[in-house]
Amino acid sequence: MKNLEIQNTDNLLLSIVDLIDNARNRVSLTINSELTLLYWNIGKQINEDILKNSRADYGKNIVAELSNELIERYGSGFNKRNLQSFIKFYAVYQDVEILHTVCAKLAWSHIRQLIYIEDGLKREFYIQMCIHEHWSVRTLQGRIESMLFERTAISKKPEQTIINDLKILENEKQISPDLTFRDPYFLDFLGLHDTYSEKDLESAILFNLQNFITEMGTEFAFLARQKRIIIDNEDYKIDLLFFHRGLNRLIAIDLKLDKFRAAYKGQMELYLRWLEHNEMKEWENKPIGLILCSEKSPEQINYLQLDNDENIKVSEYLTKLPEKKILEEKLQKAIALARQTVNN
Amino acid sequence: MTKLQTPDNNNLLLSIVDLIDNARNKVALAVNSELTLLYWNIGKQINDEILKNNRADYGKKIILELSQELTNKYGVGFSKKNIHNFVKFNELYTDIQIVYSLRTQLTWTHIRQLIYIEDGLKREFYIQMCIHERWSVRTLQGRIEKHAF
Repeated sequence: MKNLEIQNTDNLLLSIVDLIDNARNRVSLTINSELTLLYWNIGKQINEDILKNSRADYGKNIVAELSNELIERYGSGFNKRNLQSFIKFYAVYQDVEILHTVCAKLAWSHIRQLIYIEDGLKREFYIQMCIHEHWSVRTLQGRIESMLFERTAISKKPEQTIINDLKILENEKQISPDLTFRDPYFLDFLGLHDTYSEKDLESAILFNLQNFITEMGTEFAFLARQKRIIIDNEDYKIDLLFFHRGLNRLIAIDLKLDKFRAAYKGQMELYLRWLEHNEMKEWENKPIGLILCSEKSPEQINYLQLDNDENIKVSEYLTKLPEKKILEEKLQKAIALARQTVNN
Repeated sequence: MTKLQTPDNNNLLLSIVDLIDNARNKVALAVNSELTLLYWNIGKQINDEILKNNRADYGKKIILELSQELTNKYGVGFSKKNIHNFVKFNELYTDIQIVYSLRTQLTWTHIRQLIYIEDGLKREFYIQMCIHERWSVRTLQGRIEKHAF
């Protein structure tokens, strides 16, 4: 009797999970295609408007001004680069019928990559690969960089080349509703700029870290978690952003779920430069960065600052900022807690 | 630099704002109606399962278990209380045709309030008011408390 009951509950759970997953899939498809269609229509409107006007710099001006207005109303999904992508998208797909096929099958994040492939055949090749192999955007970028198309075109056995590449990809992550729901364009569109999934290990660690750092005293004022910034048309996220009252400067924290790598330093410098130009008030000192790596190594905890800032001596900020040892403890604790939440 | 205030540019901005608002509305409707149907279907699965079993505390037990499993898998939205709402929703409207028409007119947040009005006539009154007077959930709660019916 008992066993039968457990089995029944299991079946019930499975069929409910099925219902939910199907509904999520349908919703993510609907939203994606609505979003893409919207972008195409915006591109069309702007294109037609530009054609009506003969002034050479008109297009550039209008994109900048529209972008300002739209960002104010709807968020950063309408930055200049993206508006230009809408225009390009319309220029590449003027045929509404082809458009509908593309909309139904690809996410905007895919399309944004694909429209800049100038060679029509090459573009079509990648579109088909994305559709049939369910490539994620990252996979698509990787394949374009590895010149899969060119290798296929010059190969005597084009099919074998593709098959080999697909084998490599088998184990890589494919696109799923979960990924879609975290897509920043998607969230902007729904007006959910700051939502994040607690099921995500990284988000869970950040959540715990945020709490720990805030608990360290009143010096740290929390500003943002996973603050989205756009540099050169690429989306980046600053994991945690604090203001340190004693040091009178912003502190950006980047969490990495592996060992320290030199590239992380470059990325943090990019963030710091962006913060300096966009967020720093004139009476504040220059921002500093803190890179936290989950895997132990000498550079596991790394403070970073741009240029040489004469206002502060290294020893001074080391006395005001939490010691590396304490940070390391907090980081380990945050990871352990997050693992518990996620695995449970 | 030309200002957007010129009538021409302003029209362009307005028509784009219009496009965006329409798309957002359409999506909100689609998501909402998908959600409502999903909740009803989950309620139905649970009710069917409970009917197969005649132990008195069985329903309570599986709602608790499901809530734990689903919250782990999907996060918020599957609290015990909410799953209980799904079950109640399905009990109240066993005819899926009614659900089809409700789901395009009311949000789940409305429905969640309405299903606990036991008197059928009274419930129907509030449903019609929500649909035709476009009551927000807050208005609905206020009116129920003040006995608008």
